[in-house]
Amino acid sequence: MSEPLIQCNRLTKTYPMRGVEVKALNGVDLTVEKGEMVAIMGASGSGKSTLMNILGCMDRATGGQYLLEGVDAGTLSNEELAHLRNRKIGFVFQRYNLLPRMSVWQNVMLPLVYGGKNGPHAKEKVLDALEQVGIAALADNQPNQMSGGQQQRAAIARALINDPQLILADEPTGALDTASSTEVMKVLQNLHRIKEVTLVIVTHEKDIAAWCEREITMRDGVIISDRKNTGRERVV
Amino acid sequence: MSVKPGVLAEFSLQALRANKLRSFLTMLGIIIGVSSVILMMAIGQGAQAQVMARVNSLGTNVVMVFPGAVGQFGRGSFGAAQSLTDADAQAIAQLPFVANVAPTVGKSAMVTHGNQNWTTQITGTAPAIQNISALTLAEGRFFTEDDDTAANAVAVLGETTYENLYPAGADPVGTQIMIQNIPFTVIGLLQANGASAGGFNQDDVIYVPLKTAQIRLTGTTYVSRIEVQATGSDQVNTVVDEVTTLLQRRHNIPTGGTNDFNVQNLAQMLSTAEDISRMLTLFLAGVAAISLIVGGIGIMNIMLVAVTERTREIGIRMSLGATQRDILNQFLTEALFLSLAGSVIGVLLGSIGAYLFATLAKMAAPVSALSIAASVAFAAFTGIFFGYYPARRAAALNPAEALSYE
Repeated sequence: MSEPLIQCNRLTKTYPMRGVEVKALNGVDLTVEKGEMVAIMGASGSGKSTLMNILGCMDRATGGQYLLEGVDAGTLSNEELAHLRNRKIGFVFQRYNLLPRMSVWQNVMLPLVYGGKNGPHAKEKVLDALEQVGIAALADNQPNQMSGGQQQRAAIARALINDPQLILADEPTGALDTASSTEVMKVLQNLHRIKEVTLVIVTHEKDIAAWCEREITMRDGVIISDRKNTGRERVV
Repeated sequence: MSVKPGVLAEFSLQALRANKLRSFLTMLGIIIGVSSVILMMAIGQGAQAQVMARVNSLGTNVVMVFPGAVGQFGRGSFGAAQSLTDADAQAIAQLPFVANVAPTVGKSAMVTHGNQNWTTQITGTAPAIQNISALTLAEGRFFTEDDDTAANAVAVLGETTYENLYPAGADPVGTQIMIQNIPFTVIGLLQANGASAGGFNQDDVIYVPLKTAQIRLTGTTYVSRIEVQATGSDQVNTVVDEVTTLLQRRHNIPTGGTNDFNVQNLAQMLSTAEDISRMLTLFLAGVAAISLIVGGIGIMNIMLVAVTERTREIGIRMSLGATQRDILNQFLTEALFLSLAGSVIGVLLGSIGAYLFATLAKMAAPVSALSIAASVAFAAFTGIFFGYYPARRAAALNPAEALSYE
């Protein structure tokens, strides 16, 4: 498979802010092959969240080109982008973003519902996913009855329920203590190893980035370093 | 591959349950709107039914001749003037297309039977009134021309009068009653007419022969109205014209002069009354419909707040693959739920209200299927109409911005 999963060419993004154009991305070139595990580092305001939004088809670039599996996301309609998010991309957020007043399994079911795949075997699939992240026993709990680490694992189950090619994790351990962080990173790394999912993790913590094979650093809307992470200390 | 309606309903119920008090208050506008439409239409239709009942009880194809002119400010001397006589009635009876004529005097008087007394309307009239007013006898007989000619002291009782004078329910025929202390023999009892329109109880009456009433009770030779029945509904207008011409000639009224009587087409009067009551129904329903619109604006208001409050939720759903249409449908379903649930409660409350009104006001207030269907449909339309804009706003949110909304 020669075609890269992600290919960005001279990607720019500007926001109008109080009449002044703010350049969040200022010409990003990035290629991510299938099966990679990449960390994007950078201080706040460096443009890493903006890049994540564009990679996740949650936002459109102002200039340049973003190809996801060779498809130019800029040419797709809003509806096509929604379908792309549903089928190919899984999101893991810093604040979990589970919907309240719904049980864990209902939350994990949501991508199946929006993909029209909530048939009779959907719940089995959901319980399977929860099993993979190790919280099958909490399926009927509400999110607010669970610890941060458990909620994040539920969010990971939700992200992988549709067997996406790409999982985008935006500060996945930002709200967790060290022990929970390690647990979550283990789960993510296992997914990457066993399911060969491509993982892009935005973080500003060195030791989280150290889990990844490749480390990209951004500053002021451009990539300033892109290196293989040879010193992987925490291989499990 | 948009989301199935069943799932949308589940999402909506979850959201509405999360804010029970607010959902209820939002529905309240619709509840009040729908229940008032139901109640107002029921009352309006009840009033209309009463008018119809009155039409039927007053007889068909009837023309009324009243003494006195139509004054500038309405019928100033209506019924009080003394310008119509029995002779006028006899002349009218000779006209073509006239089936029945009943010269009539009316007087309110105290009636006693044994130790019971009752004040009622004494109607002195011709036997023809039986045909004109479609009176049916329950007991005995009606008075005849001979009774009239001889001025016999005979009386035919209406149902209400009978009930008040004979509380024990005895057979009245052949018994004596006193009208203004003058003894009368009861010869008949009428069947209940049933319809009592706006305080006008048509069973609260005693019929006596005209001459008897004139000689023994009123002491005049004038009549207070002449009831004329045409041979058919097509002839009613002809009869009105003929009677007018005839009376003008008999009363020596010059061309262009003021008539000292006035002729009224009862059917026309009543259809006017019916038109008015129908308009009243529409007016009441219209006022109630305004409250439905106000309720709809309440829905819009709350949905706009909900969209703002739930911006983050919308962003999350979009990140999971919800399309704009999915989000639109979800919020529309919520609005529809609010308005439908509100209208169901409104129909129940409105029906209970109509029942209470009918019981307390002692008149019919039928809740029609049409008013239920119309108000529920209107409420659903209101929900969708006023829910669309907030739903549209939710769907148009940029996913990335929605997700980062604090």
